Amino acid sequence: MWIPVVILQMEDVESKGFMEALYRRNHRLMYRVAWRSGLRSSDAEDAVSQSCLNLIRAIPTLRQMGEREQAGYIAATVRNVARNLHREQRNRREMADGERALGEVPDEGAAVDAEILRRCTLDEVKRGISMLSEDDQMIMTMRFYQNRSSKDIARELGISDGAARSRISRAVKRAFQKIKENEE
Amino acid sequence: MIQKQEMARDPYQKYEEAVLELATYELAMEELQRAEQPLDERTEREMEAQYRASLPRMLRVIQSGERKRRWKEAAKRDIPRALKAAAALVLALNMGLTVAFAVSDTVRAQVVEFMLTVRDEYTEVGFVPTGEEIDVPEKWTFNYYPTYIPEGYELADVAVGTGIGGVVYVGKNNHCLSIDISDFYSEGNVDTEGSTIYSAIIHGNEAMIAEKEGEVTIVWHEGEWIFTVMLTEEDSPADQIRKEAMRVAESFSTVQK
Repeated sequence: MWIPVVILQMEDVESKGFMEALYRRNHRLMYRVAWRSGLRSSDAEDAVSQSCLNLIRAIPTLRQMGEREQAGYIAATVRNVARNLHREQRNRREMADGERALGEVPDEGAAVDAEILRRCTLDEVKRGISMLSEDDQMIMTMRFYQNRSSKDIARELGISDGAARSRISRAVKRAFQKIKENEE
Repeated sequence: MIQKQEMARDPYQKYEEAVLELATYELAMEELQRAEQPLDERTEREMEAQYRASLPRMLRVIQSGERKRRWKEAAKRDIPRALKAAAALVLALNMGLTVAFAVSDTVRAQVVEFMLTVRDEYTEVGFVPTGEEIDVPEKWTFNYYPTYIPEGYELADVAVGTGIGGVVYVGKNNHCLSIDISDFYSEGNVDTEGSTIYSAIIHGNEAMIAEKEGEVTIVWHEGEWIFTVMLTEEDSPADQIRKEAMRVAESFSTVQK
């Protein structure tokens, strides 16, 4: 099996061994997730390649996880890269069509307080999140599951730190709104 | 999980953050389970075929992406120092190569050849030095290396793993020579899309030459080892690239550090 040269080149022997084992275990899973996200050919290749680069930077995080959790983290990383790729393609199409460039969903209704989380079951929270748009789900995964900073999210999405904070806040508000709607 | 960047301020907020973390974690694990479910046989076959065809390009994109990142980081670190020197502009222009050279030390290695010396009662069998010495990367652990590297090319990258290794040399105008060796446990593809394919004989073994604009790739095997030489010179004539790549391939020799 071929291993990316960047992994073989790692100076730190422990990191190299760790990343090589991780790659051997999960390289097919990564392609599978990209494929299932609707990406084909060069788009799928781009998603897997970009995810590998993101994962190399997440070694300290991955080291603290069990194998199953690592697979979950890796799958989420590829899924998010795929979502971002879709978002960029959509934006390019909209720009070409003269439509709005950013896929922002406007806020609707009064803001729902975070208190709603205290009276909901976990399943209700999950259901609310899974009803969000792909963009919002991507932001929620990055912020809460992968625990990434707004600066880090901003860098990956190619937006400013302020814009990333605003998108996180909006995604959370919309998640609360969905949970509330389900509750009613 | 990594350390929280934006800590919640009171127990309720901590609880809310934890609920969102747990919910997104469970959703991610559910998504993993869905991703692992096999698709129908035909789709699985199609996906596997695309995966295998994509592998070489993915590896190259990963490599160049990480290299760019490392050079950018090194640039941030090294440029302020370089600017102190009188030749700041020259250094900045050559920054990429300068950074790469710094990590690639070489050592002298002896080229050896197989020798049978017939005596009256027995025959000596073994490898003996030819007297020729070449530079090989210090990290290189394999007993094969080309004795010919085109003029002007400098060692930029070395990667060595179990049963697989590679070196990259760079020349002027983004010329690039990539040499890989792998054992028979390795699997992989060579990107031949849009290439003209020839065959040739290298050291008595059949070799494949894939040629497209500005790039020639030669692959052959010797015993259990698979060798790949890829030469990219976008501004050079095709026959010159092929000739140089063949010369590198044919110069592969047994070496001893």
